[in-house]
Amino acid sequence: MAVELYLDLFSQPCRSVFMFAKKNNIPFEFKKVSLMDGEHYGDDFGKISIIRKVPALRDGDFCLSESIAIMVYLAEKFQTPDFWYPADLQQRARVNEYLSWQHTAIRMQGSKMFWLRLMIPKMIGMEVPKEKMDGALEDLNNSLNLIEEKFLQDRPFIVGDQMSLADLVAIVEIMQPLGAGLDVFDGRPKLSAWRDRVRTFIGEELFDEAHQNILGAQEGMKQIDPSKLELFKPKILRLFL
Amino acid sequence: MIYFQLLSTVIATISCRTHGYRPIQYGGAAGCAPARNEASTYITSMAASQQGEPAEQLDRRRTQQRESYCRPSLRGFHLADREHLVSMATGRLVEVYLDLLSQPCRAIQILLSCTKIPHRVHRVALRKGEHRTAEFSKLNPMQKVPVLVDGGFVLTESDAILKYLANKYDIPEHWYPWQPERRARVDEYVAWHHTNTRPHAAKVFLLEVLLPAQFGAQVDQDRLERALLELDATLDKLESMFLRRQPFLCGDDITLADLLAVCELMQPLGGGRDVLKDRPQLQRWRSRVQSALGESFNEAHAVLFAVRDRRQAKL
Repeated sequence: MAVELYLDLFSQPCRSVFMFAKKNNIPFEFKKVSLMDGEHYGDDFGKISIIRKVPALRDGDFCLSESIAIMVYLAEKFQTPDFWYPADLQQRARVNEYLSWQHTAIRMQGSKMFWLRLMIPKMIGMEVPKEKMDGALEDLNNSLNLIEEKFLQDRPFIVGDQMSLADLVAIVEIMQPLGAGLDVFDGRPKLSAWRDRVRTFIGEELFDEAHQNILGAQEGMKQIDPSKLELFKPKILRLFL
Repeated sequence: MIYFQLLSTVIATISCRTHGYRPIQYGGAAGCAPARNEASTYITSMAASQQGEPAEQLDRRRTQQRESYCRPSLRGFHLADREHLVSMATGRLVEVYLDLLSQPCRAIQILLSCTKIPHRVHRVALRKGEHRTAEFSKLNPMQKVPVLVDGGFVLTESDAILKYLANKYDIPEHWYPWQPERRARVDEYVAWHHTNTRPHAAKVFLLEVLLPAQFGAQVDQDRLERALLELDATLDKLESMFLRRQPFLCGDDITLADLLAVCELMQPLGGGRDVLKDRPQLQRWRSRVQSALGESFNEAHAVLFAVRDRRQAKL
């Protein structure tokens, strides 16, 4: 029985898991969970992910949430090439260091920018106040600076000469604001060069396939029924405003 | 007796390594990881009574499970063994920069004390701004604790540090199990912890203790109420999604997950608030964790208790 991966490619961690599985030719069944349609609140999905979040994995009786846990599990089970999550203690620690830092840094800020620019205006029918936007943009820029200065420095990838889970988790978060029309790579040649390397390493076709939904988000939002977003309103307004 | 134990360990180490296996050291022969202790027996009998299995049988089964984790798929960990033996031989201590008022710092202190990993602690007093000195900034430009320094290797982020210590040193396997499904459970909690347990518990302490202390102002009751509601929702999830009917967050044994969680949930006690007051299930979990950790738990929390006691004296 193949591994089942419950994914919505609008979600950044889902994209990491998707690209990881495909790049490593891991046989899996893609189970789409549409967040926009509230499918993650359904009874069936609740049995897979008690946390009710995507991505989620089911391998026989074993169910798992959290993209990092999922990718490390798949790496071990399918014996993926060492560079993804190196066995070398210090290299592995560097990957873990990035994966830990990013939860409350770039992940939060990239998401926030996407919601503030695109989703919330659609939800409440007006633009978000300027100070909120400016504050969010400043935080995002600080994180991007840290990524360039501390995590990348003058290396081709975060941990060294080869890609790792750190780069895979980083790229999807950094791509998220692009879905809302904010080009974070503009004026950042180092980051752009790294993105190109990552895209080449993963494979341009796979990278683009994974990002198709998010990059088409602005178009998609034009057609969406605002009542669909009611589901998210309380949480999002509390989180971001 | 000790000579025999040492000899058998050496033989086990050599034979495991020639087959490319990583020897699991179970017991204190090398003087590093502690031997089976009271807490471990307590845990076993707890788990046994919950499963209806006689304690000695459960014990035997789990020992066999642990020993079977010596297997060739653990690539590259020969390096860990050599490193460990070298550091034991040269007496190189791992250095950590900690402030015990910080939750993740306590988790690291407790792991180091419990597992007797040779280490040296450098205290960094956040309240005195010692993390902003030029010297500390050279070590960690992000000006945060905890920091680990091992030879020339500098590492930040508590989960990376805890996992590094667990992978490098021969500590009891339950802290960060080798078996992929059990390890995944710990990774799952540790990831979830960042955006759930940690921020919501920390916020309560921030609003009740830190901000008023720093600015001399009253507690913002509205914000505190909201923060307590958020924390309540998180504790619901902690009980129903992770703990459920298990002794510990990730299963039968204490892991890094319990360590991180308990240090976070202790923090509001610095303001005299027990956030587990009305939650008997989590209280029992906390007691089990405290038992398993022994003296190292109290020692690590002494600073926090002192903060609480000083506040109570003032009021």
